[in-house]
Amino acid sequence: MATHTPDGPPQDTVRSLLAELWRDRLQPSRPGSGRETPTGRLIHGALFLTATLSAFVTLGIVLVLIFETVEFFREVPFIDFFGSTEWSALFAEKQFGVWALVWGTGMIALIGLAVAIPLGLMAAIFLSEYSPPRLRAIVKPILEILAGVPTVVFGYFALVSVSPVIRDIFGEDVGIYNALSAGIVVGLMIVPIIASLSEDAMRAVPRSLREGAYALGSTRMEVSLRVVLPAAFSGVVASIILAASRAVGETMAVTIAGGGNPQFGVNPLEAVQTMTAMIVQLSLGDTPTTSIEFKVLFAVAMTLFVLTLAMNIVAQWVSQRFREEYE
Amino acid sequence: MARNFFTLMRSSAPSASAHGAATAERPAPPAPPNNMTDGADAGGGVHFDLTLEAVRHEINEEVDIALQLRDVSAFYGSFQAIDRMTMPIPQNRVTALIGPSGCGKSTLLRCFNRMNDLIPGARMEGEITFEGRNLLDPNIDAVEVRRRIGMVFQKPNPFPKSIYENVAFGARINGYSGDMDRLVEDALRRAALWDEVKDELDKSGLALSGGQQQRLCIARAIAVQPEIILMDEPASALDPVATLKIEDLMRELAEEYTIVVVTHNMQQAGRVSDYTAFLLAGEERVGRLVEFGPTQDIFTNPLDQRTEDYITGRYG
Amino acid sequence: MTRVSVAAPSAQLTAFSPRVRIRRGVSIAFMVAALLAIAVSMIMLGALIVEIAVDGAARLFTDGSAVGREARGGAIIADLSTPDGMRWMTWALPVAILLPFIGPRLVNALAPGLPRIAERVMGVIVVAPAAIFVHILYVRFESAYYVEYAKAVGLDGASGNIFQVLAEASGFQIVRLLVVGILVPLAVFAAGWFWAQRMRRPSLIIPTIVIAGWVVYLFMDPWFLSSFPSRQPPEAGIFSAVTGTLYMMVITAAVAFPLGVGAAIYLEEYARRNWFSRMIQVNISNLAGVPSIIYGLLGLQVFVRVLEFERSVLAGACTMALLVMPIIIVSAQEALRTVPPSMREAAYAVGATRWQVIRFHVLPYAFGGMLTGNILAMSRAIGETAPLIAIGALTFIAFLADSPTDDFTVLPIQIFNWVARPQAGFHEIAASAIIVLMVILLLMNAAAIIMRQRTRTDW
Repeated sequence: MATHTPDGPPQDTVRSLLAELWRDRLQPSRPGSGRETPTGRLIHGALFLTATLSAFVTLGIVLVLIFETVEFFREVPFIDFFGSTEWSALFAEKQFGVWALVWGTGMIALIGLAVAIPLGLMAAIFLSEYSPPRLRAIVKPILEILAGVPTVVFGYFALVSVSPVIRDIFGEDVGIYNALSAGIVVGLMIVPIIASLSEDAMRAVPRSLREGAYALGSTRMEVSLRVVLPAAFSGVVASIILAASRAVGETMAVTIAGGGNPQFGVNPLEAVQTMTAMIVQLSLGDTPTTSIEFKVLFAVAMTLFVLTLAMNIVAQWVSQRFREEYE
Repeated sequence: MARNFFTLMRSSAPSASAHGAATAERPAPPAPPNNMTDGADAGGGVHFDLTLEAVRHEINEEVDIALQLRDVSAFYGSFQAIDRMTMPIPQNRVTALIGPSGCGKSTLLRCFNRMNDLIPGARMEGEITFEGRNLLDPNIDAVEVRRRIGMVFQKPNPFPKSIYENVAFGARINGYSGDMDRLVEDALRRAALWDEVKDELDKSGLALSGGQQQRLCIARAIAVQPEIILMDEPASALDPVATLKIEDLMRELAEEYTIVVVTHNMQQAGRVSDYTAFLLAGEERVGRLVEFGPTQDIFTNPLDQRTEDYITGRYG
Repeated sequence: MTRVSVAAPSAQLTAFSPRVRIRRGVSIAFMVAALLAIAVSMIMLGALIVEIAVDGAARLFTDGSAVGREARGGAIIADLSTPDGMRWMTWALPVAILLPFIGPRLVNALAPGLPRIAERVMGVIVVAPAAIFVHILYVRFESAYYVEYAKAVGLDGASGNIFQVLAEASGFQIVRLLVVGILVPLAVFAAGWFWAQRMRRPSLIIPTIVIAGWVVYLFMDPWFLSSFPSRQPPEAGIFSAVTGTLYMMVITAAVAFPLGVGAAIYLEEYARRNWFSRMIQVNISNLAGVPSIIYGLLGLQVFVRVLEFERSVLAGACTMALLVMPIIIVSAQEALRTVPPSMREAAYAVGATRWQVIRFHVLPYAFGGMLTGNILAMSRAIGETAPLIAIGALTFIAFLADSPTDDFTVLPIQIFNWVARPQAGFHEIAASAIIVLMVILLLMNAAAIIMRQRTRTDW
């Protein structure tokens, strides 16, 4: 504490010196931004640019897709694309009924969900409500490993392991490429998404709710299914939608194991082709960039993009809109 | 006639020796005024044994016993939370468990309906007799115990469902086949909430005020027709007006139910309870029963110095 | 203690039917079902790993010489897929699991009264050589791996036993025999023993050492890794794919890490909470959900065609960088949020500018977390196939990329190419390539985990 003393000048000198030193740096600045040196401003600007890059990526995706899609619809009528279920882009007589591809995608995604929802939800309930901490500490990382396996590996697994088993069960006339084996591995692939996100949502349910239910004489299952699951509903639904979106966008496994047969049938034992598999198929060949095959690639990709984007937005909306707030 | 009264616990040899050991270990408590208890014995008043080191008061009324504890201990892993508590819980009375933080009040309360089972590593020893059976026996189904011994928690915890569903939940899972509307109305009436919510039973339980939420939780507990209701500091999260309502409610409910309430609030214990148990943790943080008796006696004439200190506010 | 005056049960009370037993039974059945769900997931993962190991290991461990390639000699793990190998597993696994439990008890029975730690040490000293001896006997009499191996590499071990083989082998061959024949089983025993002693850290480290030893072994015989793809499955290797993958990863990280971290710093440290930063945030989470193949089309149009990178390493790396950027941004944001506000305030309070605070206080604190996120993002990129197919990465590359503008291929594309062929021979080498890919992934994840723990303990 500087107190004023009769022989005070030294302190005053110090003070005035300091004031001199700091005067330049105490210029009024933009409120809330803090003072910034030229370097600081430069860095601020550069960081801002990196942050906006993500917006440009989105913009780029949309523009790239729209550009070629518009080109495509100049040559092929809208109705031929969305009004038909026949797809034969590589034949001489070209048909561009995208529903055949959407159907194949949907079928594989549905098979995947049929596998993943029971497995994933049950796993989430077990981990969140039943599992001793030690077991959870082992199981969760293993699920993460499952989530980290490259999709091309799942494709190999579908083709070399799952498909032969399906042929053993349903007979030899089932093709080695079929929707069922692709769907099963897609399901396996998305189990970790459902399990992990749902478990997070369930663990966020306050302990006091569980205790309230136990105190009324509930069994563990009743607490899990009638209190925790409904309370975590928004998170669980969001995890399922996200997983579905991942299944729809999944490429390599369905390309390898699903076959390349765009069709509108209901038999999961037959080969199908998804939107993604079609894109891969057309990309593998040397398609001239002016050809209609090249342009339809983007029209299909646009459909895929809109579909997955819609699912992701719905998932976000569900998880925010229906979230229960506990204090 | 004696059976209608508190039954005298037989002070068996093992518990006597345990007492000896325990006294040796403990920092010497103020000597229990033996002459007084002896005098009570001589006077022929009805009384009962607690753990031998706990102080007992005379009970001058005719009352059944809902729960009888004998040497109840509880452990969390290797940590002992409460140590050999012996006491009765009188039926159709409000019994308050008081004591400073960390003395095992809540742990003890959670023994009564086996909520401690849910905590990994928790273990209970001793006996809690309920209708002639030991609640702590592993063969007794905790789910059925909890149906018959309800619980209300410190913080109101209504389910994120409608008010109606909150009340009906317990009855549904317990296979209730009667008139659900009547049951819900009845429970809400008894919880003194009916008039406030009767027009908006579809509203979420979370939309109610804190005091209303707590009464909803009481209604929820009542709806499964328990015999005993445990309350773990039911008013600690509420404002004074809501607290008053909950206290009135407890007095009313005591006509039909046995109520055990944990409270930090001395005045509250004095206002609502008929019997009071004072618990205290020693330096090793193990909770022990110090004194049990009619609330009036405990508050006006504590026999143990520590009880007096606590009640007069010297413990904080 | 019985209640004397029991109130007559009310009508409502009798309307309850407890059925507790049934409900408890249902509850237990439900728990079993949930456990089954986890078991099924684990079993499928196990099946996947076993399938790939069985298909791919043989090829991976094939000897470099032409003779060795036919003989398949030497490697015990490689031959687990054979009937002999399966038999080896049938005794080795139970022994590996049981010995650690038996050992100390055995010592205790023979020499009671030893201190616990001595018991443990003695347990493993007594038991491990015994296990190795049993193993050698087994090899000698049952499967004669070493003898076969010796034949394959031109040693005259056919008439003798393992010791003769060892006597005749060169230094290099001895090391090789020891690594595979003794070190690996020993490590398995040791891991089991540590686990049984509740020494969890060594029990996890030792398998890691085994894997590392395995990799070392791999590089002692780098034939599969050092050969270019071929039309003949036995001739094909993954040299160009592995180098292409590493090359692309380096560029991807160099591009994505600064951009992603920069965006994260902006969003966490600079951006005010307004519509713009919210929009960017929502946009990032949506980008994370865009199917990877669509990034490929973006890369095709922007990098390959507009910027004229052609189908080069650079185009692939830039596409991958865009793909993994959302992951890097989100994990870097999380790392930045762990920096306590008090730290920033303390720095501001001594007069630091915003950039100084970030540069000297926030970034050093959060750097470990950011690096972890970056490694995880790279492990995502390393397995991605679809976007590279879309930009037209080639599948058959018989040379190494010299500059970032050269054509390239990567492991997943090579795998895809081999899987897509009908011949079983190609499927086998695809599995071998998958093993290499998974080992790289595993090492990256291990690095991330270690880094995460390191940074956590530092603070």
